[in-house]
Amino acid sequence: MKRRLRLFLTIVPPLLVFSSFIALLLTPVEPIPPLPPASRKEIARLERKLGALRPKGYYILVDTAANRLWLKRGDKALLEAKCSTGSGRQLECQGRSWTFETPRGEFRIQGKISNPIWRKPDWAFLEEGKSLPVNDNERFEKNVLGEYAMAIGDGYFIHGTLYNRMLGRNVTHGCIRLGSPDLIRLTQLAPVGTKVYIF
Amino acid sequence: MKNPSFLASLPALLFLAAPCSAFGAAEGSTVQNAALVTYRLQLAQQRVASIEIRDGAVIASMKGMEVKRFSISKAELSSHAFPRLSTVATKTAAVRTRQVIVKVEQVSADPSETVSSPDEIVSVEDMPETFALKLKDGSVFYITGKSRDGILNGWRKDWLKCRVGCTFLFRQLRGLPVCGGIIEMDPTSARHLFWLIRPEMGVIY
Repeated sequence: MKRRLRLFLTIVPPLLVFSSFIALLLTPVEPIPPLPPASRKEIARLERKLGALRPKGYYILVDTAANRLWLKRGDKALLEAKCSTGSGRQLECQGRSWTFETPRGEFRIQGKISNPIWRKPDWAFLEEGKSLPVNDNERFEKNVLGEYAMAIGDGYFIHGTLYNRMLGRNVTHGCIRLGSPDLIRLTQLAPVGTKVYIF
Repeated sequence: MKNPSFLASLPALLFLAAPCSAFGAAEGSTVQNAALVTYRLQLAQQRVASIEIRDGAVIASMKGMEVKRFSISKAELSSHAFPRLSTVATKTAAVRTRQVIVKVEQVSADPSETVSSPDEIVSVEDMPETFALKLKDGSVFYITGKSRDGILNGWRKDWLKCRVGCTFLFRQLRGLPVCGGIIEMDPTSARHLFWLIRPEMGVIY
């Protein structure tokens, strides 16, 4: 037994080290791109182009780490609010799985809905330990999304909540929840088409 | 030296072995500025956030506007004359990051309570404060929050640091013009940065 262990310790660690060295030597890396042409005129042209990409008018920023939302116009913040974003947990059931994360990137407000009604997706039933409804009418639930919901695409919304004590925490299924006063103000100020930047 | 362990000091020596001068992402000559603006423009055209590693801070941007800034308290970086643009290949945490996988049989009957327990959410507090960032062009960065948290985690951090150092050294030996660095920041910033960074994210450094 001792001999076997000694043999194992003599062979395996050097082999591991050697193979990791080989892997390091063989891992392909991307070449470094050549430097772009440089002149003051060119820099000024690029800076103008960069400036043109910055959002015009109102835009919304969402920090999913800090659970904060800002409505801004230029550099000026018109609204700063605590929000709740995706919990990051994964739900598994009968071979299906869902990850509850708030998507990141650039979105825009596609529409606003007053007194929204929630059409419960499959995971909402499974999460409650219920079976999926046969009748589609059983999926609709009133008064859970607050006064307004703003669609940002891919089925995600900025909406209200019944659970104000959860604001500032990662607890949602991917949507962005806001407290009632902030939601009302955001709905009033941000027109349809407002860009939403989530990071 | 704060950390006397050989493993911890080895990569630092490796980085310092490369000639150190101004960091590439710093603004300076016309060529440097042109490269910096060109790369910022390229990243601003993407839909997702990107980061820029500079002398005093790591800056997250979207559409050419700064959205978050993480101050660097100390950095040891190998030099490169001009700013570079690459993308994140992998981020490796020193300690395993928490994942919450809930099987339907385990969930509570009250839907409001299913997400109220801190055990059932993954927040920025669960993110590691020490991690390695590998870029597709071969460059490697070791980012740490520099807080003390037990012998085992200390060893894990040292091991990761050593791996980063070896990767850097081997790529240098292959003749690749790669960059390497050790970046220290406060633990909260490091966790937030780990949260923000995703594979395929653009990086200027």
